[in-house]
Order: sequence, then structure tokens, then C-alpha cells
Amino acid sequence: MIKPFYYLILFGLLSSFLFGASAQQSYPDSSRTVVLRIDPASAKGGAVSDVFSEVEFIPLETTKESLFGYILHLEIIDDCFVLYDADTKAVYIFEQNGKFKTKIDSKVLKAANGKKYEYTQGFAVSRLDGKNLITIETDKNMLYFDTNAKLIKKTALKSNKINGEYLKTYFNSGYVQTNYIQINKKDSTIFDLATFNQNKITGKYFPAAKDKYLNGDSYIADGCGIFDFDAVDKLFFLRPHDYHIYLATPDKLLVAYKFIFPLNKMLPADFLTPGKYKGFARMEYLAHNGEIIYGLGNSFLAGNKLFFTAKQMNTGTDAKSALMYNLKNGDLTSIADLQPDALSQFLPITDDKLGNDFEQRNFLVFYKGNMYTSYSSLTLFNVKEQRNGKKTKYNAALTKLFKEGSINDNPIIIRLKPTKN
Amino acid sequence: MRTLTLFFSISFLFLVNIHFAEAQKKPTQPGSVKGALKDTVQKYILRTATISVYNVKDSSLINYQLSNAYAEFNVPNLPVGIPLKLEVSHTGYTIFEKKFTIPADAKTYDFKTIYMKPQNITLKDVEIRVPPITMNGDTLEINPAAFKLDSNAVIEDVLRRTPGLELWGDGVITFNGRAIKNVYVDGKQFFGGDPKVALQNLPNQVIQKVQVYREPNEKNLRDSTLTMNIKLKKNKKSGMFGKTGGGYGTDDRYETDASINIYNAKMQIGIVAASNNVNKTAENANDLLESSTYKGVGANIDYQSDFRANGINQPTAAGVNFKYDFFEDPKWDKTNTLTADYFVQRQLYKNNTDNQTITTIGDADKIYNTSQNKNEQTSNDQKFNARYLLNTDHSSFNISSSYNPGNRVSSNRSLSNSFNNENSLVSANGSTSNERSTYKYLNFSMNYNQRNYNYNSKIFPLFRGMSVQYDFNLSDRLDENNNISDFKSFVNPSTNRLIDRRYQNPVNDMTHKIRIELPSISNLIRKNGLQNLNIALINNLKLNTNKNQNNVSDLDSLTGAFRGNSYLSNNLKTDLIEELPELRIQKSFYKQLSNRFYQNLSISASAIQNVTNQNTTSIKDFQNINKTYSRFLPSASISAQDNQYGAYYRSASISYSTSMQIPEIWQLAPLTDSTQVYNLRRGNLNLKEATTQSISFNFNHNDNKTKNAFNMGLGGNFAFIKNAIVDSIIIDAQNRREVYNVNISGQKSLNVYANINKAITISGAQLQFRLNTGLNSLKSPSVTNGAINFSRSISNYNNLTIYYSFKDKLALEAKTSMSFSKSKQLLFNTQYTSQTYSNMLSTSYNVTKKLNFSSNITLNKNTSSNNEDINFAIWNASAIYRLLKGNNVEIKISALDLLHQNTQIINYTNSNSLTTGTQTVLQQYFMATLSYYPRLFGLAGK
Repeated sequence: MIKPFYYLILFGLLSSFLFGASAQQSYPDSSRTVVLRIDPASAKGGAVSDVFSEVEFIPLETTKESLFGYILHLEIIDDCFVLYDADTKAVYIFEQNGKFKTKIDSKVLKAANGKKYEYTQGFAVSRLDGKNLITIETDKNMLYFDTNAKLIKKTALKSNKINGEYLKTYFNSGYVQTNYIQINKKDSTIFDLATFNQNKITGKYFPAAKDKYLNGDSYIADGCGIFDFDAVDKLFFLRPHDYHIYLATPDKLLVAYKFIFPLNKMLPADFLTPGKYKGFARMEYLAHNGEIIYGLGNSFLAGNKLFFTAKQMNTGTDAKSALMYNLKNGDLTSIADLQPDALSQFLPITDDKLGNDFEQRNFLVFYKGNMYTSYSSLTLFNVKEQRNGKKTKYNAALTKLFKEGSINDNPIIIRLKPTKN
Repeated sequence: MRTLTLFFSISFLFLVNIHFAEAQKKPTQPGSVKGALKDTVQKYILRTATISVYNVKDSSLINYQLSNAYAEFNVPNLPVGIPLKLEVSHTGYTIFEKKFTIPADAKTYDFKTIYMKPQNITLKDVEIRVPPITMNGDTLEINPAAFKLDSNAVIEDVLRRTPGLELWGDGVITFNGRAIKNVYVDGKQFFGGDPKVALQNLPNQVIQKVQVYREPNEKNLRDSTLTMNIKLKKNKKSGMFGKTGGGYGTDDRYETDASINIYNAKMQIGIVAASNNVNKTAENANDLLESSTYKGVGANIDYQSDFRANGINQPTAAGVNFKYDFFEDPKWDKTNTLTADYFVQRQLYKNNTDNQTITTIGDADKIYNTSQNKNEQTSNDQKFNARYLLNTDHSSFNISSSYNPGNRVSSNRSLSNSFNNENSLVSANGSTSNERSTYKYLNFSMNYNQRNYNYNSKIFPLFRGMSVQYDFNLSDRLDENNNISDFKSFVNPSTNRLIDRRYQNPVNDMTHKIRIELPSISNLIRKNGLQNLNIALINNLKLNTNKNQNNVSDLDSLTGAFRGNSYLSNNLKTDLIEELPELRIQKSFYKQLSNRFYQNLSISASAIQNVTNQNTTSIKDFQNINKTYSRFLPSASISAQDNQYGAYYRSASISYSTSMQIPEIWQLAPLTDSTQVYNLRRGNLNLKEATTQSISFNFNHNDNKTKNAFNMGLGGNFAFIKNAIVDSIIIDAQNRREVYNVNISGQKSLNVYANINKAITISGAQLQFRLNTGLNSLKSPSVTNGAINFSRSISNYNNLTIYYSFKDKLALEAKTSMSFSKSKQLLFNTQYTSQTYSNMLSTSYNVTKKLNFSSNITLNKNTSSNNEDINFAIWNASAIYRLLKGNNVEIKISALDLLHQNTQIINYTNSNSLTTGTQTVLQQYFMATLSYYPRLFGLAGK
């Protein structure tokens, strides 16, 4: 199967910027890079309990108020699940046990903003006085809410100035910003990433090539960006069609891992040469070469376990994309091939090859040593049916769901705690 | 003949008995086998592996399944106590196979965990065996090689065995309840596109796999249609198949046909010829090809000659089909195809009819008319079509043209007598007409369509998604007719007349039509709120010129020579300009909740102004008319879809439209022809245009389920005509009629229909139910002798079909139909009713792989007011024996209309009349046919 087109992100149409080569640029530190030689086809399976020590299924309460489609973006703030659903265009807040708390929908935004009708395309997490807040950009204002959907702060947006709040991810002592634009009098430059210690810029990395955007080149950027794996002042940064995992700190960017795949699965050397693949040519090349690993995505580090995806267009039954590499013993595990066991109440821990949540969004968030993913009630009820009447003792939450719920209920969040070794 | 009849009756009953006796003897299949699949080397569990169970004795496939999310399987419906073989296959693993027997007492066999071995190296000489069904991403792949069918099986035999796939009696194929819209062979239409040609001709062995997948709908990317693609094996991309056969029977009945079809990866050529005198007619070369398919090993309900057709047809036809694909593997956005076909047919037709008509002309006054007609016709017709299609990712372009010359010679004799209430003869008319027509039709059309999503910045926003269509039609006809009419009145002898008249009528008609649609007007509007509307500008322009010449001459009884009839001779030219600008506004709303539902609502409204100018010039002054009609024709529609995942898919729509019908010159100012004593035409210059307003609705439901599909559809249409152009008839006591048109409002019609389909699969047997029902109601005004009469008529039809098939052995179809019609004249307080009942039972039974018996019987009953009931039965039977290894030779003996009862009934009601009667129809004959099917797939060197 070929991944759908909506993975495609066009880094284009920024014609209002003029690109200069003069901007000062920083280079990532590759002095401590770990080289990993990996063939995804050799990844092994195993039991869920081989990789995880805790598995919890958390059904999200379904009421008329709390009914939503799927989890596009998940964050955990004040031990609450804060999620964005693109079907209903609203932010939902659930307690840790799945109980519905409140939501930020058009009604709340309208009240916060005045008369105008509003809806949101998503949210970001901002830090204000050391406290994490739900930040929503609307037509004229940037709105900051707490997990009770209470408006804490409102700042007016300046019409001709880009607000970087959505592009920032915070450290304990600073932040990083993706797509950082340095505006000069004569020309401006856009950098893929900038690092900040407190509020002081410490590095500007990967300036856009002068003709990168004007050529209308396209890149496939699913699973790229910043990944917070809950380590003090450390974040992972991934770029499209780049086989490196970068580690961002408040002071600099390091090349943490460099991946080398079997030659027949690597991108051609000229794949990113400007002007070589115009328009949709990259997409087309990959569509015809489904086995090629076109980039890395969704990376988290838990102890010795490095989770990541080796992205391929071929997502057929035998494709192994979501992987876990053990840095200590070199074992490579395919997440989709983990066999449900008693720890997971004999239920699959992801909907890989059963639905499309994990395939499209992988692990949603890493928080306090736990990884979180989700799948639909439709999938859960279907897999339960396939147990062929085998008796399984489910915990109270699942027993209640199977008894009272239906395929039309809200999705289920799955919390997974990786084992120590 | 009586002996033959007896033979067929006895053998049919005998065979049906055998089947049911066999079916009773057959042991039930209560066994099952289960297990789980693991790879211990890489510690995988193997999901979507294919598990197949074969009978060891004959290696036939009994059942199969894909392993579930837990890599477990549980295959049901297996026989107990006999040796079976389990085969497990999964990409990248060596095939696991093991013999086993399900114990009769436990009824289940548990393999526990099966440890699969990874295939470390892929060598060319490794035996490659494929499982019957695999999932490749979202595509279902059926692998015919795994089915171990008879060597003569065709692809249809494989599909009948695939769970989730349903082949319906009406030709529709559904997968998990949804209809498959396209069937392709290697991504291309195969010999005209009728799935039957591919499914019943292509042998199992040449198919690599059959894929079933969703193709996105270009206009609504959230919607999709199901497509089936038959992928040929690499070395079998070329092939040849055909038929040559002939049969001769009693009463000099005969049929013969021959066809040859050759294809390769890019080209398809088919040549076909046929001749018969048993009412097997075809409209084009594809029709001929479809009726000479090979068919596989299954039992098929196949229909014989058309016993319901009017008269006796003796067609002789031949045709050629040609198709060339410039791309070997075309896609929807990469097609470059040239097609051409030629068809020539000579047809002899004979029909005698015998009618009785009752016409109400006043409260108690009725006219009774009997008429006998004898019609003979010879026609020669040629058709040539060519089409070029080019699809790219940003546009679609096609040109097509057709040329259709031909001629027809016919003679018609009729004698009609009219009686009054007292049953005394009031008038009689005898007429003979000899007609000859020659014609040439030429059509050309061109269409350019820009794809909707094409946001190429080079295109000016106004022209994005635009479509342009141009059509040109030219018709050149010459009709010649000699009409002798002898009218005798027994009430008023002074009105007697004998007319011998000749007509020569050349007609030349030329039409240009241009349609331009600009669907992206909203791109130009910067105003907030309007961008979300879909605004389109459409313009339809039609220019038509019709030149109609009439040269009429009458026999001068004194001189014996034909003299020109200056009144009826004419030269008429009509120019028509029709301009329809349209503004359409459309808005769509959708609501979705992932993995739960997707709902879509679309509202559209159009404002159309129809301006039509009709200018007639004639040598007759009263026909020089120039009229302009202008009318606003609004239309609107609402449509909705509801897709509930895992449950059902429903769609509904309701639409309102208006249209205008303008009176034509023969209604405004015709030339009255005195030979048409029962239909003397008069004109009415005051006729206005009629306007029709109609409301249509439909609703469809499809189950989204893998087993036992259920689907239904219902719909209807209500129309109201203002100023309807209707007949005003003046009937005199001798049944002579003068007819002219008048405008009367209040014509109403209502049509509703419903279709319900349900399929049930019970181990090896398939049961399908189909119910079609409909109701038509019409209230129509007419004027009889100055009095306005509203006639209410109502008709209803109901068909229930039950289809049963058991493996390849037996196919059985039972159908019951009932139709009813009633017409009531409110002014005269009269009423006519008629009913038709028909019950049909068809069966086809394969006694052995080579021998097949088929039979069908239809019981018909006709009742109507004022007439005695007519009952008759048609019983047909046939035996087919196939010879040679490839079943290439077929001997068929058929007995048709065994009871010699076939009758063709004429039965219809009009606004103030009822007509009943009978006509010539094909009747009992016996025939022996010998056919040879040359079949060669994978030509040498290819």
C-alpha cells in the first residue's frame, strides 16, 4: 500500500521572503555521533512484556459533550490528557483515568475572543511562569488556557509579525524553535532550527537553500520535527529525508545518531540536490520504489531503548517500519510484531495493520517514562471478537467498556512503560 | 414430435430428482481446524497468512481463511473422517503443509502452534505456490492457480468460490455488499467492457491474479468506487478465442454464428458474424460477441431465443471490433486509446397482428374497432464508430464519431372495421402501403475536461476545471411511400373514397451543440463567505436546421397517371436556436467522526433561462411562422450520504427541475392528408409551450458486511405539466377521426419503484432473492368531441426472483411476475383493466462435467375487462454435451415451446380506449446445434 498524499508537506509558497546567503549559520556537533548499521528486515518480534513492563488501556469517557473523532495531537499537562481532534476542531481534556474534564471548542474560543466565530486547527504548549499552558492561535489573539479551559492570558497578534509560539518547544532552561526566520533589512533567511538558552539565541541551523522554496520542490515530512523524551534540556530533532537523529540542547545541536541502511534501501545520493526532483518528482520516485527508507521519524529514547520509524512507502503486511533499537545489546525489535500477552490483556498494544492511528501518528507523546498511543473503539471491539471466545480477564475499565460501550465510543489511550534494560 | 416432448419432460423431472436425492445423501460438513502461527527465529506472529484446506483424494480446495490479528485461525465447514491437507502460506516463509483427519466425534482438529520457517534465499527454481486469497495492503488478491478447478474453468468459476464476492443474476458483481463498478483486464476494458466477455471466456490458467480495490472518486476524494482488475500472466498477455457453430431444426429454423477474437498487451481485434431466424437479434458487434461466450464449468441459467419478441426476425449480421491502447498498463490519469468498430446487418421481419379496440366517445357511446395488419420488412444497416481518448493527470480529452447508412423496404396491409353500440358495421377501411427509406446519419463529438484539482498556476483562475463539449449531428433521409386507402362508410356513402397516393419525402437535419462549463467562478470572488460556495457558469447553445421536402402525387382514376398534389407537396425549412445560460450555486457540508461515520450533504440550485427561436419557412404561407419562446427554468437538488463504518452505507437525494416543450410545426400548422381517415391532422396556431415541473427522489442502502449482502434502492418521480400539448379528437359515427392539439393544464404523473436484494451463502450453496416493484400513475387530459376528459390510469409491476446455485452442479431460478393496469375515464365514467401474471422456473443441471441439461417453463395468464382470460405456457428444454479435452466442441439439442402454446398478447389502455389482440410470434421448434470453440492463450513466441 502506498501512503496517502496528505503526508506530503509542501515547503513552498513563502515567496514573500528573499533568501540571502549572507546569514550566519551554525553547524551541528558531530564529534560524539553514534553510527548505527541497521536492516529493518532483520528486526525481531517477541512478547509485549519483553519490551514493556506496564501496559494500561485507558478508555476515554464517551458522553455527548466528550465525543470526538481521533487523536491528532496529544500532550500531558498537569497529569491530564490534552488532545486535539481535527474532526470536531476542538481540544479535549481528560483526566488520567480517562474521565472527561472539559473541552475548548468554538464556544469557549468565541467567549474568549469576543463576538467572532472561532475554531482551532490545533494547539501548542507554552510555558508561563514555569507553568505549562494550552496555547491556541486565533484570528486576532493568542489565547492561553489551563487544563480547566480557563483563559489565563490573551495577547493580541500583530498583523505583519509572525508569532513563533506554535514553533517553540521548551527546555527547562530555554527552548528551540523550528522554521526560525531571521529578518534583515535587505533580505531574510529561514533556518530549520534555532536553539535558545533562556531567551538568548545560541545557534541557527540548516538555512534554507536560496532556491529551496522557490523551485516548488516537495518533501515528505511525516514524523519529522521535535520529539520530547522527557530528559532534562534534551530534545530530538528529525528532518525530512535525513538519516540522522539530532539532539538539541539549550546551547547547541548535536548529531546523536547516524543510521546506515542496506545500500538498496538508501535514498539516491542526489535525492536532495536542488532542482533535481521538481514538483512531485520525489513523491513519484518513492511511489515506484516502495522499499526505499525515505527518512527517520518519531524518535524517543527510554533508557537504552531508542524508538524510531524507518519510513517506507510500502506499508504492506511484511513492512517493518516502527522499530526499537537496544543501544546496549544491539537488538532490533519490530513494534508491530510484538505478540499480545497477559501484560496487555491479550490485546494488541498498537493498531498497526489493524487501523491507521499508529501507522500515521506512531507514539503520540513520551511523559514521565511512559509512551502513549491510541486506537479506535472499532478496532478494539474487532480484535476482541477475534479472540474466538477465549476467556480473558480484563481490568475494570475494559470490562466496563466491553459491557456498556460500542464501536462508536471514543478512542482508547494506551500507556506503555518500557522495561529498564 | 410428441415423443420428443415426452422425452424432455421425463428427463427433466428425473434430473431434478437426482440432484435432490444426491443433496440429501451428501454428508454435512461439521468439522473445523484451528491453530496459531509463529516464527520462532524472528519471534513474529504471522497475521494475514493464508490457511487452505484441501481434500487429499482429489486435491480440491475445500475452504480457506486468513489468520487474524492474533495469528490464529479456525476454518469451519470441513468434512470429518476423511484425509485432508492443511497448507499455510505467508510471504517470506516456506509453505507449511500437513495431512490430517478430523475425528468424527470431536469434530475439530487443533494444530496448536505451527512454527513457520523463514525463506532465507529466494531462488528462481524454488517452487512458488500461491494461496487462494491474500491481502496486499488494501487490495484483495484472488489467486486462481490455488483453486485447483477443472482444466476448462473460466475466471467466473473462480469468483463464484470467493467469499465476500457475489455474482448476481442481473450481471452485477458485489464485494462485501458494494457493487463493483468496473471490471478491467490488465487495467483495460476487455472487448467492449461487458464483464461477461472476460469472465466467461478467459480461462483460469491464464490469470495471474484478480485484484479488487477502491479507486478514489475524482469529484469527491472521500468517495470511492470498487474496481476489479484481472491481471494476466506475463507470458499469457496474448490470446485468441472464438466460436463457430450452426444449428438446424424443424420448420426450417436455423441459426449459425462465427467469431474470432485476438488480443495482445496493446491491441484487441474481434470479428463476428451471425445469421438466424429464431429472433436472436443484436444491435452491434458487441451484442453478438456477448451471446457467443464460452462459459466455464459451472451451471448457468442461459436464455434461449426471445420468445417474447414481436413477429419473426431473420437477421444476418457481421462486425469487427478494434481497440488499441498506446499504454500497455493504462491508469485513470494515463490513458491513450483508440477504438473503432463496424457492424453490418440485414434483417427480414414479418409480423401479423389482430387487434380489437374499444373507444369511448360519449357517456354511453362506444366505437368497436377490429383490425388486421400484415407487415413485412427488409432492412440493411451499417454502423461505423470510432473514438479516441486521452487522459492525463490534468485533463481528459476525447473525440468520437459515428456514421450510420442504411435502407429499409416495408410493406403493410391493413383492414379495419368499425362497429357501433348495436354491433352494426359503420365503416371499413382497407389500406396498403409500400415504403422505402434510405438514410445516412453522421455524428461527431468532442469533449475537453480539465481535472478539478488541477491548480496549475499557469491557468487563469476562471478557467480551472472547465469543460467544453461540442456535438454535431447530420441526418439525411429519403422516405418514399405508396399508400392506397379505400374507405367505405355504411352510414354516409357520400364520404366513401379511394385514394392511391405517392409520397417522396427528403429530410435533411443538421444540429450543432456547444456546452461550456466554468465551475470555478468562486475563485474570482474575493468577498468573504462566498469563496466557500461552488459557483459555476454553464452555457448550452443548440443550432438546428431541418429541411423537409414533400412531393406528393395522386392517381388520376380517369387517366391512370399520377398527378402532383399541390396541397400536400411542400418545401419546409425550420431553423431552431436554443440558448440556455445557467448559473449554478452549490454548497457542500460534511461531518465526520473518524472510525465512526462520514456524512455529506450537498445543496445545489440553478437558474436557467431558456430562450428558443423557431423560424419556419415554407411555400405554404400559413406555415411561415417565426416564434420566440422564453422561460425561466429553475432547478434545485439536495443529496446526502451516510457511511457508518462497519454497519452500512446510505445515500438519498431529492431534486426539482423544470423544462419546456415547444410545439412543433406539424402540431401548429400541418398539411392534412386525406388518406389518413382515422387520423386526419389539423393544426392549431394558438398552441403555447408546455412547462413540466418534476420532483425526483431516491434512496439506497448497502450493508457494509462481508457475508450475506443486503442492498435496496427506492425512488420516484412526480411531474406536473402546465399547458400540456394534448390531442383533441373529433370522432364521427363512422369512426373517422380528426385530430388537433390543444393546451390543457393539469397533467400529472407519479412513478415509484423499489428494488430489494439479499444473498445468503450456506456451505457451498448460494441463495439470492431479488424483488422489483413499481407503480406508475398518470392523470392525463384529452378532448373527445369537444368535451374535456381526464383519464386516470394506474399500472403496477412486481417481480420476485429466487436464484439458487449449488457448487458447479445446479443452478435454479424461480421468478414470479404480476403486472396490473387500470384506466378510468372520469367524464364517461368508464373503466378498463388488464392483468398479466407470469411464473417461471429455470434450471440447469450438470449431470457430469461434460453433460448438461437445462429447462425452463413459464406459465402466463392474461386477464382484461371485456375479454376472456388468455392462459398459455412456454416450456423449453435443452441438453448439451461437450467433447474434447478442452470442451471445445459442444453438441446441443433443444426443444423450444414444447407445449406449442406461445402467444404474443397485445394489451394496452389509452386515455379513452382499450386495445387487445394477438400477433405473430415464434412457436414450437426443435433444433440440433454443433459448435466449436477455438481457444488459444499465450501465443507462441509471446
